[in-house]
Amino acid sequence: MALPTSILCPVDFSPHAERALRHAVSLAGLLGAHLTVAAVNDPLLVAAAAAAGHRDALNDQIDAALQDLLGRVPAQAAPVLPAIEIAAGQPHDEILKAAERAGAGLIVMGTRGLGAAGRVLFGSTTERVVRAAHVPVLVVPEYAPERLSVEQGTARQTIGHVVGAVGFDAADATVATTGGEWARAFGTPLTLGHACADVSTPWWPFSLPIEAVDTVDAARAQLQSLARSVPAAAGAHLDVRRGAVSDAIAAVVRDRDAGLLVVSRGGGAHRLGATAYRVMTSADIPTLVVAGV
Amino acid sequence: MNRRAFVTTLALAAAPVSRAFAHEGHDHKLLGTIAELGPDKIVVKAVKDGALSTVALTKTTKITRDKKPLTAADLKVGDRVVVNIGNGKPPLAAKAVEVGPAPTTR
Repeated sequence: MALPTSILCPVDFSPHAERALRHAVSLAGLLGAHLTVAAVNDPLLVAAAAAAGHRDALNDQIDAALQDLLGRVPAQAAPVLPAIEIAAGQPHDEILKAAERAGAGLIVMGTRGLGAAGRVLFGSTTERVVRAAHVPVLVVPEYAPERLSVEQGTARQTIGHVVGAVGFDAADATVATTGGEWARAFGTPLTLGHACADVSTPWWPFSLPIEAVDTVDAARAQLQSLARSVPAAAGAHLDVRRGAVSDAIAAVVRDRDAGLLVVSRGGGAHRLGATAYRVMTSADIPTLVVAGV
Repeated sequence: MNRRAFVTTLALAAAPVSRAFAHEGHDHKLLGTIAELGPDKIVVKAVKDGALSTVALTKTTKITRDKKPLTAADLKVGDRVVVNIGNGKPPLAAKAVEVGPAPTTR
């Protein structure tokens, strides 16, 4: 696992895509990474444009709109020279193909902000990309505070902590390594967080085996062991909470003033685990989703 | 698939959106999705910025799908369209509407 040297940011010209692009530009500046901005045309509109003899008009308009969008992103001292890709097809498929072509080590995408339940709403395209991507995906909520910003011509970050959500599964090392590397890149502390699920089940007629009970002390010891075994996570703060996983991790994020959350996609290959989904939608900060092992 | 590297910086001021399709003497094209339908108008959500534009359909508006003539009654919300709006000055009126293939539900 290494910090990305190439970043892909797909845009659909929505406000949340613009927010994601601002993060992508700042990240590219901070990390010295190459940036590709991609737009995917609706194939039905492509067909209509072709039938009308105006195939070029569509790409020209998208070109102009991308330039307009990029022009609204603040300038940096070190200029980012983005490559632009325009594809046609199913958005999630084309985004994944564009990531491969660009050799992207990171995809940056937006989400639609807070819904009626006060949680981030995933767009279907973002969710599909997160499920299938072979590289980490940075999911940027529309209304997340802009911790990655450009001030006085220089890209900077104002992140309090990077929080890695550890689930004690096969992805722990990836989460800890990725979180540690990003924290180091930002010059900020890393916190490894874990939520001990409540096990009070009075209706359950059998006693739980002792090893199944996820106690705070045992969890802390396991986090310590993880931090010792992963060089990038050495010296990480440890934070164990009891309660529902999504609420507990959201509390860690809030209390640590975190600007970036790292989670495992969970759920196995090409699936998004329900816990990972709940954590992401509750945290309401940019969330780096890693594929795990 | 087009892949073009643009030698530009993000400090570059936004290029006028109209520059690519508003050449003098050429008709303007509005590309997008039908968001609303009226008896003699369509509201098109532009692909480039999501802006809504109301375009009048007149007796001379030519509506086609893959070169086959359609009527205004054949139009549906969600249809992808390329609308020739002449000089592009309001009030917008369609000289021609090319309709994309019908969307399929999945």
